[in-house]
Amino acid sequence: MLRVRNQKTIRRLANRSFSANRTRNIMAVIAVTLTTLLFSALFTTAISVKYSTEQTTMRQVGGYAHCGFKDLTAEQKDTLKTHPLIEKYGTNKVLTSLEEGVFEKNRVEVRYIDEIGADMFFCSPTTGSLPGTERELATDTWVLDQLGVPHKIGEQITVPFVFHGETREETFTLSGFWERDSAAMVSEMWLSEEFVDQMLSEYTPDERMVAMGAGKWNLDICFANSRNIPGNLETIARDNGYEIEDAMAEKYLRTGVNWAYLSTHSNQGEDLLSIAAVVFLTMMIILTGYLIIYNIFQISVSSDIRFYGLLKTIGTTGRQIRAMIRLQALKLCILGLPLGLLAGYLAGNQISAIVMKNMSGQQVYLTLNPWIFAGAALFSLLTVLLSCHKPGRIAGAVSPVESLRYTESVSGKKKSKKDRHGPKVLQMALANLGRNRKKTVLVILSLSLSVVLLYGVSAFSAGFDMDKFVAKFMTADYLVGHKDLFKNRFGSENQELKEEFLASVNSIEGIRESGLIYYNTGNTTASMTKAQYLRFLDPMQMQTLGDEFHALGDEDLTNPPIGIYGLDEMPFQYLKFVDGEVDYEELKKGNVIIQLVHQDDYGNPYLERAPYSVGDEVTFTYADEYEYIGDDMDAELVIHKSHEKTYTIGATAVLPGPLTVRRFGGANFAVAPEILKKEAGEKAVRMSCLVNMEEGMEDQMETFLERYMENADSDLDFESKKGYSDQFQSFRRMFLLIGTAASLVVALVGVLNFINAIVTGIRARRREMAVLQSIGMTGRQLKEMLILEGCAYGISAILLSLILSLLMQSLVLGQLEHILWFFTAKWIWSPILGMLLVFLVLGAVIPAAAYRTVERQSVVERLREVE
Amino acid sequence: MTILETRDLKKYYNSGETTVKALDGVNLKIEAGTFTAIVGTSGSGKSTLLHMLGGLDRPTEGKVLVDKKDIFTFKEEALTIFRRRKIGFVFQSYNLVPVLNVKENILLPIELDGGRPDQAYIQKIITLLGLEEKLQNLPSNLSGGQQQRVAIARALAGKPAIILADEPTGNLDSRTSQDVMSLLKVTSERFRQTIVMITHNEEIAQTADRIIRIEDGRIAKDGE
Ligand SMILES: Nc1ncnc2c1ncn2[C@@H]1O[C@H](COP(=O)(O)OP(=O)(O)OP(=O)(O)O)[C@@H](O)[C@H]1O
Ligand SMILES: [Mg+2]
Repeated sequence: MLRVRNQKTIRRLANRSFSANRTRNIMAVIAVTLTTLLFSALFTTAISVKYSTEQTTMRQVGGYAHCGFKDLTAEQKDTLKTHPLIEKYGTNKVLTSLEEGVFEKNRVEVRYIDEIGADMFFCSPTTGSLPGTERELATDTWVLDQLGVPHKIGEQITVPFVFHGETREETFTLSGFWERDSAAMVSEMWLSEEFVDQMLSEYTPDERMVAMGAGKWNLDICFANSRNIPGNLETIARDNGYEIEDAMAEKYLRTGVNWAYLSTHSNQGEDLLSIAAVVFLTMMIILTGYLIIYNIFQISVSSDIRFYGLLKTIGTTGRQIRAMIRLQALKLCILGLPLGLLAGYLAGNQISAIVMKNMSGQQVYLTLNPWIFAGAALFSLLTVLLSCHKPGRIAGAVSPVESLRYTESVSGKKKSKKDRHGPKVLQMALANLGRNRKKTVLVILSLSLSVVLLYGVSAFSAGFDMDKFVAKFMTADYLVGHKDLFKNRFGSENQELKEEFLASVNSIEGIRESGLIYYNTGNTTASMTKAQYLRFLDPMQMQTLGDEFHALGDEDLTNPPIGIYGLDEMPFQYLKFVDGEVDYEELKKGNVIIQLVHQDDYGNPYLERAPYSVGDEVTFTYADEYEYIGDDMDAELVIHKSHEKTYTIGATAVLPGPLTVRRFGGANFAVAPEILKKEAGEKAVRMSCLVNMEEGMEDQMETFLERYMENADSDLDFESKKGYSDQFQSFRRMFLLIGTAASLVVALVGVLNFINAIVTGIRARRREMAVLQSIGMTGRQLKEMLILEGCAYGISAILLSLILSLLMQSLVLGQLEHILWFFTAKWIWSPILGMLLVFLVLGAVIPAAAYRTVERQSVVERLREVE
Repeated sequence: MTILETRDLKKYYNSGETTVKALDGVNLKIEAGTFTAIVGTSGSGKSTLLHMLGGLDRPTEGKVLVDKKDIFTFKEEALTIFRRRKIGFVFQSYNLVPVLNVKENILLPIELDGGRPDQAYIQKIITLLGLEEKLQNLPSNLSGGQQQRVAIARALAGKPAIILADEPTGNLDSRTSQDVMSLLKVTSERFRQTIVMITHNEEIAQTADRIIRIEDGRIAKDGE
């Protein structure tokens, strides 16, 4: 239908009528900009938080490769790497690792690597380069510091390798180095291939080197995208005639998938929630944008209706008029989009930084993902097109004759002839609102939207129950332990709290009470039937148990490992008995013990997972002498000597999470420390120390602990009630900040809509108002009428918001109590009353200001004005 | 040959309790190439009739046939296209597009149709109407008479078979009215156009081939 020639004509008409609508354009461009800003801020935040989380995990794992083949021969490596699915690959050959002395806590892996490989490890030299000649080396600054080597290319480094238990020192020249990533768990040292080969020819790999895959090649791979990594990996193996599932198979290849990519899939619930949130917000933005842009176009079309009718009479088709309006909308997009995209991107980066800091204490990795812009632009465009669709239809469908005599129709009852001027003005104001119902409803809706949003945000954050939150994470004022305890990695004697520390703690002032929690790091088992074991055995772990276990009948006896806590009297008071009760004196006697169970977020104990009942007799087997044979993963426990001890279960109780070893699951028991020490000896380890302070003296302890950690023992760490409440507050503040910012933008949109409605309403009625004035209405009365109109918008919006907020309160926030354990729904008035005030002020100020511009023209000028 | 025909044409307007019968059964045949004047008192239904003839508005009842085709069987879109190819309108209130200049206004209907204007012909009309000097002006910078001439030029530009004019001289002084009228006659004769014109001016009505008098929505008198 639209031929090229008339398209040009339509474009000209669109352009001209665009220029003739300055006020509308300014409003619309602002609206488009704001809408785009919201979209791009949302997408930036979503994408960069996801990206940052991924990056953080990758940096912990130490690489961004999607997956890799391990322990390959040179030929295998060379054939596998040519597979067409592989987008990018890096190769490396392991020599050994440094684990002695200064490297005991942080291993250094030693290998030859190529350039892409190093990049995949985030370990490319930022200064210098990879080793070029045999005697060159590249490593990170942390390793250099440990070896006492200055950060300078060309420095000599002596590295103490350990082969077969004997140390061999070799000297290299530093060819490159980089800053160690604080998230990384191991360090890397890159050597030349020649040197690695030479060492391997001199020494057959020892046990530790074999475990690392010394002398074998690793092939790290990136595919075109991170979808279906395991599947692609399998395809590559199969295409080359290898097998990656069955470890027993002849042509088996060991593989690994980067769990930075896997973790995003394993957390499906959380993922789904984030996606739902993004979708919800996107809809909200579309709605917000729609409300205003639609209104702007609607008003513009109805005030230009004569113009469209006129175009119709001379033969413009409805389709052409729709195209005209669409063209104008697109032009508004061209003006509004870039600014909105940029501002939204900047805002989004700020928000992501806040989110990352508050959610996981991690930094944000900025990303200039083109999808942010493409997505935001697309959605913004969609919103605009959606918004001008209906007005376009109206303009296109206008009947040529009707338009020749178009005025906004006055609906409702005819005006009654009361003479008191007050009510008459009010009546006229209300009648004016009723003139264009659609416009009025839209303005009120878009104003309400911001109030409801603000209410939602405020009520949600007000509902965060700090007491519930802190109680879950902290019971006493302070809990001190080895830093690994707080990383859920407690479990050996060298993580024990030191005597010197306990002595110094006891010397500080203001302690009301304190006590220790011991944990059995030795190997202890309890006898029970398979059925009892299955109550708390987690399915993942069950798979690792051999066929022997699966062959057992339900009533056959088995001996699973258990956890035993030794509680001083002070921590003992935090036990929550759920079945039976035992007093501390009785516990100290050593015949009666307490069975421990975990609880869910709402404080309901998992009683069904307790293997024993109160009154049961249980026999523990304490291993006195034992060793592990084999490497880490599949080490086998061999017990040389052990003894048994029988107890009675006196009660079942919950030990609050913070006081535990911070690993979920298993069967756990509590005894008095003396009893644990008697049976487990050195393996009864002082795990944590609980302290309650005198009122007002709480900060003393924190100061002491911080100083002590800095000067005496950097391996310590602690948690405090105050720390948790601070963390809680900052989480709440973050939420409030982002939420309020979002509601403010929405409010801005609403207000813009409101301004637009008032201003265009007044402009459209310029002649009419002049007529009113010519027949005796004073300017004052006119202004009064306009202000009343403005306030009526505000009041209606607040009433609507009140209803919607009440609905939200009962339908959404009330339900949240069941989903978020730290949430208690509360009704709050402040956002609604606050916004009422704002709307009343705006309702008065905007019409008054708009009327000013009208007032400048004389009545006669306005009467003569041609539309 | 009959180019315009109405059959029992009715148009009622409902405003609350009362019904206004703007047209109440009009039967009319107009031959191609003739000049018809429509006269009548204010509110008698003249404009309504003209709107119906041009397909600007739909009747309550009855038919309008243009070239033997019942135009109200067309879909809205098709009707518009039919109208812009067949009919040129001249309104009492000019109805120029305020954002386009004189030249653009004149060419608009042709361009909307995607057609190529006959430049020589357009030039002739412009010269005839004395608009050469004003081609780049916006309508708001023209006098009433000048605006009316632009509206006429626009109506003629597409060489429509029918010209419907609603008091084209209503706002003009008598001399300009004379000019405009003679111009309309000249061009219509030259291009064999059919003209239907509403007027209050007896003198002008007398120059028509046929005068139709409308009263209360009906034809009261029909003759030369
Ligand atoms: N849209 C409408 N709604 C209601 N009544 C209408 C409408 N259009 C016209 N009328 C009524 O129809 C009747 C005929 O109107 P019309 O405009 O055809 O008169 P006219 O003969 O052209 O008058 P004039 O010479 O004053 O232009 C009038 O009574 C008018 O009030
Ligand atoms: Mg009329």
